[in-house]
Amino acid sequence: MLSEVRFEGVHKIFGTENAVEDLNLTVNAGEFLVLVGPSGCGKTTTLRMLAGLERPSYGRILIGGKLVNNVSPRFRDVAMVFQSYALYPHMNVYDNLAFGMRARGAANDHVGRRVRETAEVLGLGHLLKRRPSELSGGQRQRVALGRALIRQPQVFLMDEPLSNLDAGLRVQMRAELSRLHQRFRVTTVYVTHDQVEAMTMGDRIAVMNAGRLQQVDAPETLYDNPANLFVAGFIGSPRMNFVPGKLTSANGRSSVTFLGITTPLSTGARLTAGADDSEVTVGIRPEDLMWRPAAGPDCTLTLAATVDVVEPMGHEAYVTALCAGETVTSRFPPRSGVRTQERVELALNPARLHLFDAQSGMTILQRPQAAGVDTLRSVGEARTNDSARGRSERQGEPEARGATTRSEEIS
Amino acid sequence: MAVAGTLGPRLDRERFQWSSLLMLAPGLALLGGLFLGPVLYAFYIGFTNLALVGSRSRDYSFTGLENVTRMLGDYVFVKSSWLTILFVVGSAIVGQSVLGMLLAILLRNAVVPIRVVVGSVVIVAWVLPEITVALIWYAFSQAGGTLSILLGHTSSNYLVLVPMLIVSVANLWRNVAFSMLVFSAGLRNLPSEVLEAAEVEGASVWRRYRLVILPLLRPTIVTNLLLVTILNLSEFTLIYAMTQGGPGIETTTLPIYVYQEAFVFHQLGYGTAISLVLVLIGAIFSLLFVRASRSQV
Ligand SMILES: Nc1ncnc2c1ncn2[C@@H]1O[C@H](COP(=O)(O)OP(=O)(O)OP(=O)(O)O)[C@@H](O)[C@H]1O
Ligand SMILES: [Mg+2]
Repeated sequence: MLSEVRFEGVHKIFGTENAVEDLNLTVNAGEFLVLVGPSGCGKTTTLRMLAGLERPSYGRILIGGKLVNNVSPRFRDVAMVFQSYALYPHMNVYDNLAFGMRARGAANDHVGRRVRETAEVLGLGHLLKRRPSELSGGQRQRVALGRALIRQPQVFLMDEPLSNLDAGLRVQMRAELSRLHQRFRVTTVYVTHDQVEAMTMGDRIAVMNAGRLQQVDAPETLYDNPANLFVAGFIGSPRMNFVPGKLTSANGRSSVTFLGITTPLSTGARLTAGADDSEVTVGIRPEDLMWRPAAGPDCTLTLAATVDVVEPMGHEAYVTALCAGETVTSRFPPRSGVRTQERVELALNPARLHLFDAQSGMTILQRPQAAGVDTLRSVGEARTNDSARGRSERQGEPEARGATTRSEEIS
Repeated sequence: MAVAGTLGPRLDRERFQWSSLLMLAPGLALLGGLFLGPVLYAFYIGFTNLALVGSRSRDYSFTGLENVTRMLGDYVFVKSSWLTILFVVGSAIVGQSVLGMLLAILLRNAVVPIRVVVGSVVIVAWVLPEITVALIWYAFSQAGGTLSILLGHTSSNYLVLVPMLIVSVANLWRNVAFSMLVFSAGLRNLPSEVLEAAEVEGASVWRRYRLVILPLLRPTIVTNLLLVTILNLSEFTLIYAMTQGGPGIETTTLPIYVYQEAFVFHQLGYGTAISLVLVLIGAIFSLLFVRASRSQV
């Protein structure tokens, strides 16, 4: 029942535009893979190729080890939640939900039971008689989701299935989807623009940009070790700070100079590239750049800054400050009392720095794995060391990093 | 719902402002003078003994239901009515619509060159003047014509053997482009992701057409049926050019009978009365279609 999905060198070209370029990606059997990327980067196109609605221009697509390039959508046994819902406008909710099962020849009472179950889970029980045009946006989206969930396909394809739900319902549906996945372990490719969904639901996250896959990794790995500037900037909110810096080395130890300070790279970190005196981009996550009074003993670096904007979020505050001519964002505790134009001291743990090649944007710092990353969520009993190969694939950087070789916990 | 009644009149109800009559007046005058007036006048003429020439052309009078009783006893009229319904149902409603739909569906799935070639050929047939089409089909179905050669009976004149069939097919041949274009436009406007969803859900081609595509096309189908019925109900040129209603009265549909009564036998009053029956048939068909379109969607 568990099916692996594999893209091998897949391209999709529309006219002169490369919607997807050289996609190599394996979704392990039973895995929940979240696909993220900016608008227009090719996420929907990728899903559509997997569903068979779009033929790849080049490359191979395999589902469950079977080449499906020329298999029509009907016979691929995938269920898709369309970004635009694509409900049958002339059918009521009940018939919309039942359509797929009926098409596959399920018995009427079985269909009825499943429709009612699914509608109950999605809170649609009282709407079964309504047409899509008589539903709110969020209700329509839940019908679209239900139309997929009612089936037991080999693969679920979900294109932003929760984007139109209110915050409360979204949390509830997120939990529901995770629960369903825990239970049935249907291989899932899930597109979202929501950072929280991406970080909490995915066994792994695949980041795409401009048709190219940037990085595929477990959420924590992706967050702690982004492969390039794009991933670093895309994952995490508020965005990672990027400031220019310079590498130097003194008696065998590399140091980096940025924002007017120089610090040796932390022990355990390893430069994978970058010569002396080369230009680098230094990345600092807002939560690693703290208010001095609130910082722990690890934060050995201190920067003087002038507060520009304070954005209170309730449980914390984002403070945008000017520091050595650069604008940086940091996360302050709530009610810190700092005001615009105030001089503050920011603290920074040098072990939390990210370094990227200023030209290529690729990471050049190999950091030790943070504790706790190995004990990731379970990814299914089918996952062996062999099938975990797909865990760390990166375009244009075939050499795998630590993440590929670490042992997996199976729970 | 609870507040209704306590808040005074509803503000979102549609209202007619009498001052707008001023703006509507020119339009109403044109409509009344050029459309409503003549229609009512024709209705009146239908109940008179007006003739085209002779004394009755000046001193005609209202004759009540005389024309109606005459019709009911008129063998030609009864046969002509059946022929008209046969022609409209067979050639237009069934033939033209079904074939037009099939062509539209086939062309939708065809590769571009085939789509262009077939589409153009079908449309050319439609653009040809009716009189030309009549000539083509007249020649085609004569003894020694292409049809007789194809069927291996060179001495048979099919326009005499099966006149109504030949006329219907000629009409179908000419008009199928209309339905095809209407259905092509309808198919093109279907929401493509809805059809894709049905495909991903595992529905067979047949099931997709039956449960998704045709129901979604329903408004288009009804519009097509309505237009096709009205256009074909008054079809005159093609039939008259091919057979003049003959042999005998085998192809005398109501428009041809109206023409003959009014302009050949100069019975203008009776002819008009028959044409009112034509209007009645058209109205009944239209009502049925509009009903059909309302019952769902
Ligand atoms: N049928 C098509 N014809 C031409 N170009 C297309 C077609 N479908 C998609 N594209 C282009 O391919 C690119 C990728 O589109 P896609 O729909 O996959 O983006 P996406 O990642 O899903 O974006 P979003 O997050 O906005 O949904 C876009 O630049 C889009 O303009
Ligand atoms: Mg999309």
